Amino acid sequence: MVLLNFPILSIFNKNSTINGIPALFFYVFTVWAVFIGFLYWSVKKEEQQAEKDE
Amino acid sequence: MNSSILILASLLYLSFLFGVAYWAEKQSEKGKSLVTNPYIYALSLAVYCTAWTFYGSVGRVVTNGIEFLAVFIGPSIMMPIWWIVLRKIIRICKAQRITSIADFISSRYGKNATLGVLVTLMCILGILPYIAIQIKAISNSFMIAMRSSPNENLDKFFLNDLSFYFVIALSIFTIIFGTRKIDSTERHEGMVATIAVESIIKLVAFVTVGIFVTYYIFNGFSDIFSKASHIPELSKSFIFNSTTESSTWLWHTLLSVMAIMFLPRQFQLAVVENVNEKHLNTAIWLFPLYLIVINIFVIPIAMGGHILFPYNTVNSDEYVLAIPLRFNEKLLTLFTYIGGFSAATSMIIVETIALSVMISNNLVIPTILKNSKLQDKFGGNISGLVKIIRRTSIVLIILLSYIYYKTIAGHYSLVSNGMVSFSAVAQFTPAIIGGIFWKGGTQKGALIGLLVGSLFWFYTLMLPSIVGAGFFPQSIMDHGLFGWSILKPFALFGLKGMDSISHGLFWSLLFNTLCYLYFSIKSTPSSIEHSQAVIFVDIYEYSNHVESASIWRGTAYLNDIQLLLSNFLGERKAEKVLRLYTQKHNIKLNSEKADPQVVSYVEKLLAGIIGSASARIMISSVSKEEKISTEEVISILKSSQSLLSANKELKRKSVALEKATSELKEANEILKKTDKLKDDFLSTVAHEIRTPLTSIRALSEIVYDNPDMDVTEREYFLGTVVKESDRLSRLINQVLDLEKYESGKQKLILEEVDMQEIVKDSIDALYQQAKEKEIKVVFLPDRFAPRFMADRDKLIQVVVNLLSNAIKFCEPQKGEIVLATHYVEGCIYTSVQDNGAGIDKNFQRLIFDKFFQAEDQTIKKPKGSGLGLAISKKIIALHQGEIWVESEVGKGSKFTFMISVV
Repeated sequence: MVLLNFPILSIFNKNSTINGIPALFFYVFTVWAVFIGFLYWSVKKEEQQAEKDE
Repeated sequence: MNSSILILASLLYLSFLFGVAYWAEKQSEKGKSLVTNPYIYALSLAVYCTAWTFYGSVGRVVTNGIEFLAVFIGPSIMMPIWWIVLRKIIRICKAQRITSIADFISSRYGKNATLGVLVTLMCILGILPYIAIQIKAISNSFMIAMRSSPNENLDKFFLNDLSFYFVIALSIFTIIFGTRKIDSTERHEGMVATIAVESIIKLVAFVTVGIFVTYYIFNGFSDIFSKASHIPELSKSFIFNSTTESSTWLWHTLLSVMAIMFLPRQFQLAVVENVNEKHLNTAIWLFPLYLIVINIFVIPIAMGGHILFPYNTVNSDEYVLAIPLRFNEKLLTLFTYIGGFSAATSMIIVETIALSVMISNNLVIPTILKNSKLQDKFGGNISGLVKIIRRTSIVLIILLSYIYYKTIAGHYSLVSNGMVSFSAVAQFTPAIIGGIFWKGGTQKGALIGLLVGSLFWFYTLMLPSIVGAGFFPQSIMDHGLFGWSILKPFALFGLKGMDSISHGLFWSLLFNTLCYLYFSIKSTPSSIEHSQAVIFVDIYEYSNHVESASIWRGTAYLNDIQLLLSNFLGERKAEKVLRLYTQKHNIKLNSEKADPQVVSYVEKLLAGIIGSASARIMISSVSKEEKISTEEVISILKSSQSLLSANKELKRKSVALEKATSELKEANEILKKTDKLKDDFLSTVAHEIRTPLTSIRALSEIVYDNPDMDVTEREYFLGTVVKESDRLSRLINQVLDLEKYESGKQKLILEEVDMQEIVKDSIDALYQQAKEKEIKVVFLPDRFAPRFMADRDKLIQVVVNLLSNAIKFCEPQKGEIVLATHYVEGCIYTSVQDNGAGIDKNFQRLIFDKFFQAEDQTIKKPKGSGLGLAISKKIIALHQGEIWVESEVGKGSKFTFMISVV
C-alpha cells in the first residue's frame, strides 16, 4: 500500500524511461506484479502449513 | 463491417452463452458441479472488469494518464483485507442464509425491513447508471464496427435502435438463468460458469488487440512510448501533474477497495455463489493477476490510438475497436467487438440478478406482507409471486437503464459514470464493516448514517450528471442550491482542489461514518438487534451451531408452520425438509405446537427465499412470539456452544483414555512376561547350581568320612570335586556375563582380527574334547576373507560355544563337524555344522533365548547351562551381526553367524 502511493510514488514521477518505458508506468507495474507473486507465495506456504498440521 | 454480420455474431455469442449455462447446469445435476473449481470462482470475480475496463480505461489514459489504474491496483493490494472481510461475510451469509447485500445489512441490524428498502433503493439508484453505460458500450461498439457515428444511434426512436433489441435478448437470458428455480441458497451455477467463460473471452480479446497494436502496428512498447513522448498531450500523461492527481489516486484506490467488496454483482459472485471458503485462497492471487494482465496493454493502445488518430477524430473510448478497424482486420474487429460485448453482458446479467433478488426480497415482499389488503390478494401463492416479481424487476431494471442511457448516460464518458456507482455502494462500508467487527453498531446508527451518506452522494455526484443532461437548471452547479455558493455540488462547504469523485466520496463517507458512530453510541439496541450483532461479530464461534440454537421463543402451531413452508417449497419438499431436520436434531414432530427450534429453522429457510425481514414477518404472522431478552439470547447461544465444546472435549478425552489404557495393558503384559522369565531363569540357575553342589558335597563327605581311603580313589573323588567346582564357577561367570550384556555394560575391545585364526584357535581349544569322543572336525576356510575390526576374545567365545555344543550333541565315533567361513558382499559368514540330533522347528528360534532350557526342562535333559547361545547372540549383536540356525531333527544342525566387515 505504501509502495504504491505518495510520497514513494513521487520518486518515480519524472520524465525518464526504463527500457524505453516511462519510469512511473514501469515502477507501478513492477511493484504490482511482485506483490501478486508475494500473494501467491504466501497462500501456497499457508496451504502447505495447513496440510502439515493435518 | 456489415450490420447483419455483427447482429449474427452477437446472437451466436448469446446462444453460445446459453449453451454454456445449460451445459453447466446439466453437469451439476449429474453431480459434476463446475463451481466446485476454485479457478471458476476466481474467474467469475473478474466480472469486475466491465465494458468500462474494456473501452473506458483506454479513453481515460488519454485525458488523465495513469489514474485509471487506481481502480485495479486498489483491489489488488487490498486483497489480504478483502480475504479477511469476505471470509467472515461468507460465513455469516451461510449461517443466516443471506442472499444479497440489502439482506445482509437489514439482517445485521435486527432484520429491519426499512434498512433493506433503503439499501435496495440505493443500489438501484447507484447501479442503474452503471448498467446504462454497459448498454451504451454495446451500442457504441456496434456503431463503430459498422463505421458510423455512435451518436446517431442515441437519437433514434427506440424501435429503430438495434441496442433496444439487444437489451430484450439479454433480459430473456437473464430471466432464464437467474430465476428458473427459487431456492433457499439462491445459487446459479449456469450463470457462474457463463461469467467465468466471458471473463476468459474478454481477456483474450483485449490482450489480442494489445499485442496487435504493440507489436504489429508499432515496434513494441518502447517504440510507442518514444513516439508518444513527442506529442505533448501524451507525454504529460506519463507523470502525475499536480497534487490533485495524486490525491485522486489515493481516493480512487480506496473507492475501488470498497466497490470490490460491496458492489451487488461482486457480492453475488464472491459471497452468494461461493461454495467453499477455500476458494478465496485461489482468488486472492488469481484475481489480481487477471487485473494486471488485462491492464498491461491499456496504455499502449491509448498512446497508439492517439498517434494514429490525431486531432481527436475518434473518441478515445473507441480506440480498442477503431484501431483494428482502421487496418481492416475484420476478424480481429469482430473478436474485439465480442470481447467488449462479453464484458458488458456479464456485468448486466449478474447485476440485474442481484438487484432483482433485492427488489423482491427487500422491497416488494415485505410491503405486501405488511399490508393486509395486498396480502389477501397475493398472500396465497407467494412462491409464484416471488418468481413474477423477479422477472418483472429484471425487465424493469434493464429497461430503466436503457432509458437512462438514452437520456443521460449517452453524454458522459464510461468511467465517470462508473465511479458514481462505486461511490454509491461505498456508502455501505460503515454499516457492513462496523456490523461485522463492532457489536455496538445499532439499527438507528446504520439507518441514519446510510441516509445521510446517500443524500450527500446524491447531491455531490448524482445531481451533477442529471443537471448535465438538462433536468435541473445549470445554476445549481454554478452558484449552488438557492444561490448559496457554499452549496455548490462540486465544491461543497468551499472544499476545492479535489476531483468531483474524491470530493463527493469524502463528504458522503465522512458524514455517513460520523452519523453511524454517533447514533450507534446514542441509541440502545433491541434484543433481536443485539442477538444478531453477537452472531455477526462472533460468527466463527457460533457458525457451527447457529442452526441448532434457537433464538426464538413463543407458540406456533406446527400445521401453520408447515403450511407456510409448503407455500414456498411445495408440500412434498416441505415435509421432507422438516422430517430431515427433526430427525437430525431429535425433535418430535407429533405435538400440536411447533418446537421453537423448528420455527427458527423454518424462518432461516424462508429467509433464503424471501429475505430475512420478510421471513420474520411471515413467521410472526402465524405465531405468537414472546419477548426474549438479550441476556437470554446470549445464554442460549453460549449454552449450545459450551455444550458442543464440552461434548467435543469429552470425546477427545475418552479417546486419549482408551489409548492410555491399551498402552498400560501392553506394558503390563511385557512386565508379566519378563517376570515369568526371571522366575524361570532363577529356577534354572538354582537347578544348575544344585547339581554340581550336590556332587561336590557328596564326594567331599565320602572323603571326609573315610580318612583311610585308597589314595587313587581319593584323588579321583577330589578331581571330580575340582571339576564340579569349575563347572559351578563357569556357570556363575556366565550368569554375570549375561547380566553385563543385558544391562549394556559389556564393552567390546576392538582390534584387527582374522576370522580364520579365530576359528582355528577355537578348534585347538576343543581339540581334546573332540578327540575323546572321536568326532571328526573339519575346517573349510575362505582365504579371501579380509581382516576386520572386532573383539577377538568374544568371537572366540562364540565359536567355542557353538563348537562345544556341536560336540555335545554329536554321537561318539559317528560325529562329524564342519566349520566354514565365507566372504560374500562385505559380510563374513561363519558356520558350524554337525550331524547330531538336530533341533525341532518349534525351538529353532527359542534356543537363542537365555531361558530356553528352562522351558524345555521336562522334555529333555539339558547339557550345559543354556546360557551359551544367549551370550553368543548378544556378542554377535554387539558386532552388528546376526546369528541363526538351520536344522532338521535327526540330521543335524547348522549354526551360522554373519558379521559385516564394511
